[in-house]
Amino acid sequence: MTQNRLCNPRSSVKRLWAFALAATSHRKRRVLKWAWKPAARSAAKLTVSARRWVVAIMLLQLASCATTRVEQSRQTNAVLGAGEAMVILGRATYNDRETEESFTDCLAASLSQGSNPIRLVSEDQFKDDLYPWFEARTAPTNANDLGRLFAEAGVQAQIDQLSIRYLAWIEGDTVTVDKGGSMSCAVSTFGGGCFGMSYWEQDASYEASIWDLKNLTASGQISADANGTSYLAGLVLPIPILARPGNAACKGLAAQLRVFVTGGDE
Amino acid sequence: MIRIKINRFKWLQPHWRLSVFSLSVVCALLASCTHTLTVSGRIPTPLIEPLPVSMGFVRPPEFSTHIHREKLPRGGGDWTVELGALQNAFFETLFDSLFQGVRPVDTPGCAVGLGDRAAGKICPDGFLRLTLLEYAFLPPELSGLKFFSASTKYQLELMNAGGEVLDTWVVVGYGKNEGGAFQSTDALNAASVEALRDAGARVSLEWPKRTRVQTWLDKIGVKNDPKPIM
Repeated sequence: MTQNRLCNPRSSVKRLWAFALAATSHRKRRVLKWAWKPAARSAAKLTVSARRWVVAIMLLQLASCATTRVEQSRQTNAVLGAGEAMVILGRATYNDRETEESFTDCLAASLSQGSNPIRLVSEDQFKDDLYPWFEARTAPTNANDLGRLFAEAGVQAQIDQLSIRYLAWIEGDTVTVDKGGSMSCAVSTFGGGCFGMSYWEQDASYEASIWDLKNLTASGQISADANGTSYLAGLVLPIPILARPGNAACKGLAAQLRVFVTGGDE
Repeated sequence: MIRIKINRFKWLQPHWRLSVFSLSVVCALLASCTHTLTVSGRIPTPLIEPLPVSMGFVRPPEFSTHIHREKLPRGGGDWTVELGALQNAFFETLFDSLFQGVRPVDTPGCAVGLGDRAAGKICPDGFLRLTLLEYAFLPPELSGLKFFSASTKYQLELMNAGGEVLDTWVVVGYGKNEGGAFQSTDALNAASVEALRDAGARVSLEWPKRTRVQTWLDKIGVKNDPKPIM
């Protein structure tokens, strides 16, 4: 089991500091003098004192991290051989909650990059090549069904042709568990702006079930849970401070999945 | 004393006329939103063992040109969904894989005379009439869910060589897709393609296992060993 704290790089301390420095340089260039529009003038006034409120945002930024918890259970020690590929499929359901396409895309992007990239067969290609066996209604629900599926004409040959060793089913989603605060924005002929603050807490919970298509067995499961609270502060301009737990869960799950199928270190 | 000169007819000037026109266009767009979609997507070739029968494929003329028009309540806008071309190509590919021989015919039933036989025309083992009974969709604004959903309802009629109806089966395909902001047509397209694929999957896997279809296959001397579906 591993536990990580992943912060949104877009609101990192480095960027906030760069913003503060930029605000100072704008002041030096007499931004206030040039800010003839009321809204821009208000914003410019605030940027002059940017260094002061950067501290406040940095405090908020501490809370905009997502905490990820990754757990793994393994049933076999087999790993990907040379030239072998993996396919990542989002488990489709007919209820209102299912794995977001963006999550499986994020996983695929993470696994196919880096120093030890994994050869992936895209979900679309896999579903087309094995149509109608992996549609939402017809896909096998557990690894015990693999034997029966592989007995169907052409299925084994198609898997062999694509050199797919592992199939990872991704289940789960990201839900908002709490939200509060209030923010209002107004625009008038004299300018406009947003004031207030709102927050929302999200919980991302995903599980990857890895099936070995060579031995027609379940190889193991990896679960990743992440949660974090995002903020939207209205200080004339709306300032989002996002935790992105879905992204954190994706990174955590991808790292563990890579270790799982390659047998390497993290 | 400052005198302000107001030109009451400035909206007649060219650049003002353009602004007024643009504003009218924006208002018109906001008032009635029209969406037009030609459903498009990949057409997979089913990985199934074909039934060793020859079939005549009967479709109504409007099957390949079907256009669904709907005005949604609560400001959902006017929708025009062109489904015909894709569903036609999709089922042609599907039936080519499902049966050993398929040929499109206008009417069911064999009327092959001696002259036709001499010319090499043979009567198919049976006929399959495919009709789209209903296409429906639901946007997130109306369903309260966060995705577009679409469904297709087809009727499959199996007829013997003489054109007698042996089996009628209504199959519904369902699809959904989570669309992003300003991507409603893309989301509906993906949901419609998924609904088509779902219906196709059911036709290719469930239809040959229907009791009356099995009886007909036995009658024409075709051995078919239906396996249970996953």
